[in-house]
Amino acid sequence: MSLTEIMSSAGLTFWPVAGLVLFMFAFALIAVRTFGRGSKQSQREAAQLPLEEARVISTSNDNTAGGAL
Amino acid sequence: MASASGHVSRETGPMETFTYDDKIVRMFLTATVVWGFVGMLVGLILAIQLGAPYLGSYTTESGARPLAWLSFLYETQWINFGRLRPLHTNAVIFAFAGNAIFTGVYYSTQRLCKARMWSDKLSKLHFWGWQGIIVAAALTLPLGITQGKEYAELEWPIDLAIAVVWLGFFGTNFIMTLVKRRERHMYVALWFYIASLVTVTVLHVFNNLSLPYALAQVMNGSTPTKEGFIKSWPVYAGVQDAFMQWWYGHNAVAFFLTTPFLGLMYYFMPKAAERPVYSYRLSIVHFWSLVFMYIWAGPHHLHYTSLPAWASTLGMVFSVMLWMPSWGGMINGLLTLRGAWHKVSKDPILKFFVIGVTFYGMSTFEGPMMSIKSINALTHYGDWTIGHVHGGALGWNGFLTFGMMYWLLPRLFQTKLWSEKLMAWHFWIGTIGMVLYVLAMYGSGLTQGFMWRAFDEVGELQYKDFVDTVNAIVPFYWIRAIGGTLYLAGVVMAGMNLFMTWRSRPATYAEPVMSAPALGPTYDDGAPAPSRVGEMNLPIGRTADVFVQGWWHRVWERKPIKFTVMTLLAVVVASLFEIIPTFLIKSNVPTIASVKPYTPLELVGRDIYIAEGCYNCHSQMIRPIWAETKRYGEFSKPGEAVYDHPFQFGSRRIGPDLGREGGLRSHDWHVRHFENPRQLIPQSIMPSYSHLLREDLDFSLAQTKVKAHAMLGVPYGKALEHGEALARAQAEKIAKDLEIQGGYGDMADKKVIALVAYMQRIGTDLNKPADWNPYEGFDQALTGADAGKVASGNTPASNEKLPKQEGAPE
Repeated sequence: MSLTEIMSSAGLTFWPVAGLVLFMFAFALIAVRTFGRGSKQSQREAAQLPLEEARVISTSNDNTAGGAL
Repeated sequence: MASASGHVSRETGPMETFTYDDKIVRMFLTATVVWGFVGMLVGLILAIQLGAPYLGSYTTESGARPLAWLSFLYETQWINFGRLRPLHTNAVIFAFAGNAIFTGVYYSTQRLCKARMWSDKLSKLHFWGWQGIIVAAALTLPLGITQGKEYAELEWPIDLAIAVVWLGFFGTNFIMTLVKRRERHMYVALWFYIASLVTVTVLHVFNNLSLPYALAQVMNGSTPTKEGFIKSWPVYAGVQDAFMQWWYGHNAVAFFLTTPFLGLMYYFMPKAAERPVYSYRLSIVHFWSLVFMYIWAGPHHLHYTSLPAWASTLGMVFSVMLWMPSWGGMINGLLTLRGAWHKVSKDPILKFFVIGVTFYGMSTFEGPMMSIKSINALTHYGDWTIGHVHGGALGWNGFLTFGMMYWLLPRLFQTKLWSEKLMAWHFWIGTIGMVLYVLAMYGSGLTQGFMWRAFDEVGELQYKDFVDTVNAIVPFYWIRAIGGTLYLAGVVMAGMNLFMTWRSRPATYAEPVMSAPALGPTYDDGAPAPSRVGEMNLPIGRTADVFVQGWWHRVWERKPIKFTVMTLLAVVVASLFEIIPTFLIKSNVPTIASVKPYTPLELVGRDIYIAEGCYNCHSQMIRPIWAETKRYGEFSKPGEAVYDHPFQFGSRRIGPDLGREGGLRSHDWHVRHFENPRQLIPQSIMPSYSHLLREDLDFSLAQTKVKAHAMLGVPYGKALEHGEALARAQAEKIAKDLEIQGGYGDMADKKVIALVAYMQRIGTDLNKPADWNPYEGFDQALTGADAGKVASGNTPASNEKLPKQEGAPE
């Protein structure tokens, strides 16, 4: 019996609904993680990352400017 | 150690020094603008092409045609609409947007990771490899070298190159940079980049699984020919191929044009506004919701087609659900400007971002709305969809890119932007152009939709002649062309600003040397350790109590490999939920006994149909909607396309559906129509295909093509060994019928004959008896009868005779 035959006779009409429920559950988990009792401080710090630059300790010359880019 | 923003590094590793590679960012930025200009210029040419036949055939009272010279736009095979449109879409998506993504990713990843890209060599290989792919696309698509699947047209050698460059060069370099980073937390922008990287890889690989012609030739004992390296057929057929294609197509929009740009939004908007993202929590919900939901939405491109209804409905449900996270993201982007709106009125960069994000909101409202079946019934195949995608591409992708570009220019070239005024002009001219474009397409799409389904008082189609619905929208095409010209003018301004800023760069770029501690073996994020904070009595309650504190996700956020694997898992599991039933449950694609494989000549003709890009204007999918069955005939069934490698359902109707075209008209009508559509339908805007009447057919290809299709599972039986003989015999028969119908003589070895063979076959199997013979009248090779005896005169419409035209080849 081929895989196609097995799948065809397996009565998988619930399959899409199962998928929907599974992913709604995943969404709920995400919401719980995000709005649950996590660390507000760590999220505040994470949000600052684009504004944070590494410390510049010196400047050297990149000699590529005289040419193309 | 405290940074300027007050963030305290808790890293315990030794201090390290490093520099950023900004040269690669400058290279990608330049490529973005160059390819943006090329891609949009091609788009403008396409817009003009659709109106040009009206101007070209304009005749003065004296009989002169002063604009006849415009005919080169629709009579030149290399730039015909069907060949040029894939070049436009590929150039804008993969060249313009692709290079923009890489610009932003290379700039922001280095800064967010406090690390130089892992390998300068891989960065360069990535840049030159990607540009090489774009050039290969620009050379092959106008030559008609295509897989015939929208946004996946590039042939197999280029597909292999894409996989190597995308995953091998870019992916390796990106992931290794994450691994070697000096910032513990991976900022949310990096998550979006990760999702883009893994998902595009999965989509590209699985949608492009195909049988290269060269491989089929070798496996059948032939030496690979030139065609072997420029032709392939997907391993999927019909409905399954359509499903894979739109799983790919929609998620290409999601994971190439949405998630990477959201990553750019989450990095560059805070930079430009000089304030953090409004809600980091919302960005997390935004990310995971998109990853979990987007992957399901593809089937909404196939509503009312022969795709199983459950898949179509599931696609619709997830599409509507997507509206929530998408708008969450949009609101998050716009609210990042809270307290900074006074800057927006003065700063064109912020204006670009605001309009870009607003268009993201508009597109992500419009998309779910159009995925609702009843609305889709009106909008599908029409220009509303074109307005929708251009709102996304020009507004969201384009304006976000230009905002990022203007923010980067002074920083990358270490000088002032050449002209703030020109930047402001770019913003306004681009916005006006975009609005004109989108509104014109809304008008055009609604006009088409309503005219296609309009009935008169006695229940007949009000606009029986499809060309009437084309006439009505040509004015909208011209408004679109004006809008496109304005937008393109803005791109030229951007190019000029980039060039002049580059010219005023310093003699040598200063290269800051940075310092940051390496990631130590242990880390304390300062957050409270997971503990039981609730009063739970049961063990499961206590476990849940710890779980909801989210420590497990915070750990993921610091582990790039684990995070990548989890993202991949989400995408793959969702995909399998849709793909497995579609491929493995027989009832989803019921077979029809009378549907037989194409004859060898029809197979060759079908490849010509694909090469000319006919699917860009014609669908082959009649929906079970009264107006459609009335206009075109019986609605299309899934079992009709089981031998279609690739499927050719199409997504637009610039011309009518061809799903039941077979047998409707004579061979002669088709030949003359291909030669010049306007000699039969004066108002037609279809390009001329006169080259097909001149170019010779290579019958030897028929044999190997039949064998290649047999390798894909098409049951050819006895015909398998007689492909060339059958093709020649059928061509002779059609040529003979053509002459009887008053058509051109001596055409048996011309390409147009193969195309006519295919056209006459489309959609005809359904109403034939189960035991009908597709080779009837030319099956000497199978029966051993005298090859000289070719039956004639039994094509369904062969008694239709058209007058022979002046100048017809003898």
